[in-house]
Amino acid sequence: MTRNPLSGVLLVQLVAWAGLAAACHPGEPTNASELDLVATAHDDSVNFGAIQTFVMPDSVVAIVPPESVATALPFNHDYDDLILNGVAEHLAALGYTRLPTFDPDNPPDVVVTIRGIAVRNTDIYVSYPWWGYWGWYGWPCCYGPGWGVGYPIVTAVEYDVGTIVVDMWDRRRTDESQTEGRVPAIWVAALRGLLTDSPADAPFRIDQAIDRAFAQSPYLGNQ
Amino acid sequence: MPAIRRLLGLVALLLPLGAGTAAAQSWWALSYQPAVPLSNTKDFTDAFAWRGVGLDYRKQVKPNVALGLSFGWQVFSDETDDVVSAFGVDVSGDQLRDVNSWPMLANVSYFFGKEGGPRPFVGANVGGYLMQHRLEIGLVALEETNFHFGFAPEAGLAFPVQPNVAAFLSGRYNYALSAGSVDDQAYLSFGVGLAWTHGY
Repeated sequence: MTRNPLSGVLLVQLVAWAGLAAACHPGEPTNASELDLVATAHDDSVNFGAIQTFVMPDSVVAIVPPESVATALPFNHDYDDLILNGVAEHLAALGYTRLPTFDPDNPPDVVVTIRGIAVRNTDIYVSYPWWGYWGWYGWPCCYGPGWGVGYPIVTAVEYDVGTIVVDMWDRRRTDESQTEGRVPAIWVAALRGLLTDSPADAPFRIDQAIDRAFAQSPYLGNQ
Repeated sequence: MPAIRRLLGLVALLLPLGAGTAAAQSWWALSYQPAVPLSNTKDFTDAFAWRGVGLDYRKQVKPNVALGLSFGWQVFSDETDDVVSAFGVDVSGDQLRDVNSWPMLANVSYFFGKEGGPRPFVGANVGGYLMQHRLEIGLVALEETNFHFGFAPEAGLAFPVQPNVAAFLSGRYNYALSAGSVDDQAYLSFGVGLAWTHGY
C-alpha cells in the first residue's frame, strides 16, 4: 500500500488554514489605556501665533449632552486639578500668558474652558447561530443532513466612558451683531477614554491624553 | 460590479482551454505565503505579513504551458499611534490596523526545463482581490471590504522531492486597483510549498 503524498499536503493545508482563521484580526487591546482617544480640530483661518493672552476658569464643568440625558453618570471631579494644571502648563509652554481673571478693560485674546462628560453606553448584539445536523430515520420516513438556524443569542455589553473637552474661544472674533455676542471656538480637543473600577492609572492616562492633544496641534503657540 | 464581471469573463475564456486538455498533467499546490506590503498597503500597515497561505491548481495545455487558478489569504497587521486626519479632525490613539487580502486569480504559467528535473517557471495572474481594511481606534472600529480587480506577475522554481511531489519557491508581485474608498494596493508575496504533481 502506497501512501498518497496528497494526504500530507492536505494535513499541512488544514493546519495552516486553521491557524489563519484565528488570525484575521490578530491584535486586541489588553488594557483600558489602549482604548484612549484624542481628537482635535481647529479653525484654519486663525493665526494661533498672534494669540498672546488667555484666561481659564479654575474648575471643570460637568455637562450632560442632550442625547445622553438618560445615560449620563456623575462626573468624577477628583482629577480636576490634574486636568486644569496640565492644560495650563501646555498653554504656558506655547508662549501664551494666563491672565488671572476676565477683565473687560484688559480682555484676553482667548478663553479656554474645560468640560467633563461621563456616560454609560450599552451595546446589544443579536446573533443567530447556524447549526448542522445529520440525517435520521424515523416515522414517517427520514430526514437528510442539513443546516438550520438556532434560537437568537442576545449579548449586552455595558461600559462607562468619560470625555474631557477643552475649548479655545476667540474673544477677538466675537460677533457683536448677536444680542449676547457669539464667540467662535477656534480649537477643540476631546479626550475620550474608558472609565474603569480601578483608576490607579487615571493620572497617567489623563497626562498622556493632554500631551497628545497638544502634540498633534503643532499650529498652536507663538514661539 | 464591473470588476467581478471582468473576472467571470476571464474565467469563462479559460475554461474551454482546460476542458480541451482533460487528459493533461495537473498540479495541486499548497504554500506558505508571507508578504511584504508596498505603497498604499505599506502606508496603512507597515509590517511584514507572517500570516499567509495559498492554494494553486494548474493544468498543462502545452508541453511547457499551464493554465490555472490561484487562491490565497494574507493578513497584514500593524499597531501604531500615528495621527489620523479626516474631515478636518485629527485623531490619535493606539490603533490596530489589519488588511486581509484574499486573492482569487486565473493564471498562465510557462515552465522551463524538463519533466523530472528542476523547473523554473514564470507566470501571469489576473483576477480579483477581496480586501478587508480595518482600523480600530479607541472604542471605534472602521472597516471596509472591497473587491479589487488586479494582476500579479510571478516567478518561481519547482524541483521534485519524490515521485509526484515537488517542492517550490515563488515570488509574486500583487497589484490591486482601487475600489470603494480604498486606493490601489500592492504587496510582494513569497511562496514556499509543496505540490502534488502529475508529470511536472
